[in-house]
Amino acid sequence: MSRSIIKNWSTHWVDLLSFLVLSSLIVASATAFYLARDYGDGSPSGGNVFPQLACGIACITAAISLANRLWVLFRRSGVAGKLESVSWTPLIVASSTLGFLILLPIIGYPILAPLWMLATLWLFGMRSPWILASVSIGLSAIAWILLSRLAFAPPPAGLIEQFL
Amino acid sequence: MEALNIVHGMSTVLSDPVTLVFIFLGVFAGVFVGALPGLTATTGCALLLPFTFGHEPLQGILMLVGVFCGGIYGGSLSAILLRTPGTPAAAATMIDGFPMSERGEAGRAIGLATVASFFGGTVGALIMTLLAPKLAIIGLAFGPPEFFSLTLFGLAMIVAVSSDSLLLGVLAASIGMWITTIGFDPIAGSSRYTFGVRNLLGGLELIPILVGLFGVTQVFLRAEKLLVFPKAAKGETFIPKWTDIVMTRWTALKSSIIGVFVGSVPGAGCDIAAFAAYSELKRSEGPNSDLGSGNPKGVVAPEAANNAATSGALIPMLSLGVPGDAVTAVLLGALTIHGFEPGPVFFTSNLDLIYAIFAGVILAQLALLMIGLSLTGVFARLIRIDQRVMIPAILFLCMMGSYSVRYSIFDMFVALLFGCVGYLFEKTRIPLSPLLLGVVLGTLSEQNLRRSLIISNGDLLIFLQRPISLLLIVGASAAVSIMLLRTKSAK
Repeated sequence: MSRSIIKNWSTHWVDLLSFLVLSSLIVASATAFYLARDYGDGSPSGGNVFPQLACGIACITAAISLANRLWVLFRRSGVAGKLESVSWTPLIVASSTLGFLILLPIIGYPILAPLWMLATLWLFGMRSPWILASVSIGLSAIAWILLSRLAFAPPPAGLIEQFL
Repeated sequence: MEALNIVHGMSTVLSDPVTLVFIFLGVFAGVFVGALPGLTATTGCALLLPFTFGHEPLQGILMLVGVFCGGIYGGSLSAILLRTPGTPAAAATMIDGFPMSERGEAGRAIGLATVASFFGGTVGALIMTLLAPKLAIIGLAFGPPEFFSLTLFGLAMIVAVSSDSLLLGVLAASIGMWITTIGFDPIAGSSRYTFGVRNLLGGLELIPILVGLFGVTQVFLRAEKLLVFPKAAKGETFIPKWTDIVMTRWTALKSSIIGVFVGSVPGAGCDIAAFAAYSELKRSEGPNSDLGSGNPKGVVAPEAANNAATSGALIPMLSLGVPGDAVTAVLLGALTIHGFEPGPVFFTSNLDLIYAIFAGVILAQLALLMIGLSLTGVFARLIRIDQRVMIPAILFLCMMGSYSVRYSIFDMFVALLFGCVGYLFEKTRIPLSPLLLGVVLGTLSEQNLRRSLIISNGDLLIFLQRPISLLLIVGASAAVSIMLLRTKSAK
């Protein structure tokens, strides 16, 4: 009983995600199509032609795909696709990466990069303190040396900039 | 006559052992850079370009050619082992290479990819040597309508091979093409979809998009479930079996020929060559083939084609001064820095150098074969690294690789964004390859569509009135029709 509920929930999660992604694509491409009006010069070869062509095709194909999936769902002739596992880990990894990128110019790479790597390794299940420390510090240091010594473009040092 | 020219070119290269060392170093660096997710042959060439300044032009150019050949091959290693192609050219290899790796045949896949790359690159260089002058003339016949039709052809091919759903393939390709319209209008110079954001003025860089779609997406997918490689190539021989080579010989030859001709068309590059060869393989294998689930021919076809295309891509660069892709654009810059002006005059006045370059390409393939087969064990060991370390390290490399393009945190955001997009598309079964090809071809497609419309005063019939353009459009239509018929018959 409980397994069937989980299966159904997973299925609906995938269907809901499909619905959301395709709906977002319809809205985004329709908006981009509308905005592209302003890029034209009235000629058949204006700056609006290609974006409108691409967005128009995207909008139509997304709408038909959405209708197809809804049709399959309503007919109940089968689920829209195979069952997918549901996990929050990708969202947490993406959020931590987003946080890393936002804080990078403020806190700085030398402090933040090893911490972010440590957190990511932890999220992926690594628990060995030696590996956590060596990989997070080692990788960050190698990248820092390569970027600062070879490319002369180190990532922002942030809080410790005055000490470097 | 051409045979004598290549012998003469070979003797020029072999007469100086330092040139051989440069070729070997170039290939080694190329394979290394190409195998690392987020770094491409273009990055490798760009990084090594300053190193070539103080040396003989031939040495420097052949080193970069070595990086080019090695990088294209190296991209396939990460595609097979990690499902993260280093270059768009390796995306087609991933389709069958990764399933082989998953079922414990990574060594077999890499061995076949190595031999196919060597074979394709060598055949490509030989064909180029024989046909270079004639192909340069065909390249001259390409105008805006032909270029636009060529991009349509490339997109139709990828849509036909990469998805079970034509609609979703077209959807992904059109989104990719739309992405390229962000930034400056390539003809009028006005800005589009920038919303006052300064970083968007120059458009989105290809490498962060590529890294996001294929690298970061893979990290997110593996965050759900870490892959396990139970039969990780331990004790497996990496030299391909003779039976495998015999089985794939015609595929390799046909794909090499496709690769060299597609690669010789300016703007086409190794990626279209690989997908065109894969598409042809899919067509010839029929609807009941197991392509996409780890068929060795699916590894051989794109690898032979994309390495043959490295030779082909040199033709428009040398004869017309038009780079076939981003790597040849860097090579073009290298030639200019060394005091040469690629173009029709260069092709006739520097024949010795041209044939020495082609001889160097053949020797680079030999170096690639040696490095590939001897270091396959090292690369195959990559998959034995604990996935709990490997995947976060890939994410880190993806972010740093994106940063290194323009030393911009904005590009890291772009990689993350496209990683999220790729993850959502994977979940909703929207294919990523057409999206990527749309991004690669979008600008070329728009420029040539608009130039064609300017030439014809807005008359779309121009695309049907020119034989090469018509042929390409018929080819694109045929690919889509076959895909539709197959889908219908499968139902």
